[in-house]
Amino acid sequence: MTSSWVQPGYVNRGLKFACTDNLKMCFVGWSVVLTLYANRGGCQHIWDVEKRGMDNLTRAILLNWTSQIFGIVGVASGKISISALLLNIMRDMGWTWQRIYLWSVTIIFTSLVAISCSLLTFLQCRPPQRLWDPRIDGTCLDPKVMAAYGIFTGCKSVR
Amino acid sequence: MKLKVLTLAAFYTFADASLAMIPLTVFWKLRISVLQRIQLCIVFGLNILTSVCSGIKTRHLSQLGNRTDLTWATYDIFVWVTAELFLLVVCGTVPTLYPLLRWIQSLCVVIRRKVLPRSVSNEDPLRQSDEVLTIGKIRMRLKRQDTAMSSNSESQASTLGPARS
Repeated sequence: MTSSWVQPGYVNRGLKFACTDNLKMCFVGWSVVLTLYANRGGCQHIWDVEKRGMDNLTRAILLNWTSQIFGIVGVASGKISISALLLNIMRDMGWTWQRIYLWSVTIIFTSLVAISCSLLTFLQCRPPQRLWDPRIDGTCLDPKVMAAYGIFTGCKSVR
Repeated sequence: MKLKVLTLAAFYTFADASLAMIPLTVFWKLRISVLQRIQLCIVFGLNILTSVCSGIKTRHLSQLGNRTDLTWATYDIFVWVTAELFLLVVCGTVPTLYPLLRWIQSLCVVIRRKVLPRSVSNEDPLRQSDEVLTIGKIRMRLKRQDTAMSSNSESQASTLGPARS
C-alpha cells in the first residue's frame, strides 16, 4: 500500500493538479481585480482617473499592480502544470534530456523568476505605499529596472 | 543594453516554443498509429498559441516603466495577459479530453456499421495496442493495483485470523 506512494508519478500528478487549480484561481482573481480596476476608471488616461479624486487614483494604481501579480503567478503555474503533465506522460523513460530540461528550465527556473518578479513588483519602492500613492515621500527604483525585469519575465514567459 | 535585452527575448521565445516541441520528440517514439501520433502532437502543439500571445505581450511590457500615464499604458499588457491566461487554461486541459475523442470515434464506428452493414471489418477500431495511457487510465490502473494488493493482504489476514484464535 505505502510503496505506491513512493512512485514518482504521484509527485508529478500532485504538481499538475495543484498548478492547474492555482492557474484557475489566478484567472478568477485576475478577472475580479480587473473588474474592480475598470470600475474605478482604469485603462483611461491618468488625468481622467484623477478627476474622480486622488483616493480613486491611488486605489486604481494599487489594483493595477495587484492584478499583475495574478498575471505573473498564473502564467507561471500554467506552464509548470503543462510540464508536469509531460513529465507524468514520460515517467517510464528514465532521465532523458527532455526530463532534465523540463525540471530545470520550465519548473525550477520558472518558479524562481515568478516569485522574484512578484516580490520586485511590490518592493520596488520604500516605503511600499509610495508605489501607488504619489503623496507619500519615498524613494523608488528606477522604473527602467522594473520594465527590464518585466521584459525578462515576459520573454521567459515563464516557460 | 537594448541588444542584450533583445537577445534574451529571442532566446526565451525559443524556450517558450520548445515546450510545444518536446511532446513531438516524446510521442514520435511511442508505438501508436500515425493518426494518433498526429492527434497527440496537435493537442500538445496548441501551446504554441500561448507562446504567440506572450510574444505579443512582451512587445508591450516596456510600458511597465511608464510613470506618467500608467493606467493608459498598461492596457495592452492586460489584454494580452488575459488572452494568454485563457489559452493556458484551455490548452493545458485539452489533453484530458482524449476519452471524449475516443468516445466520438467509437460512436462514428457504430453509426457507420449501422449505415453500411455489409462493410463491417473484422478489425476492432479500438484495439488494445492503440491504447494511449492517459492520466485517468493510469490512475484507474493504480487504483486497481491498490485494491488488489489490499484485498490480498485482507485475505491473508482472514486466513491468519482463525489460526490465531
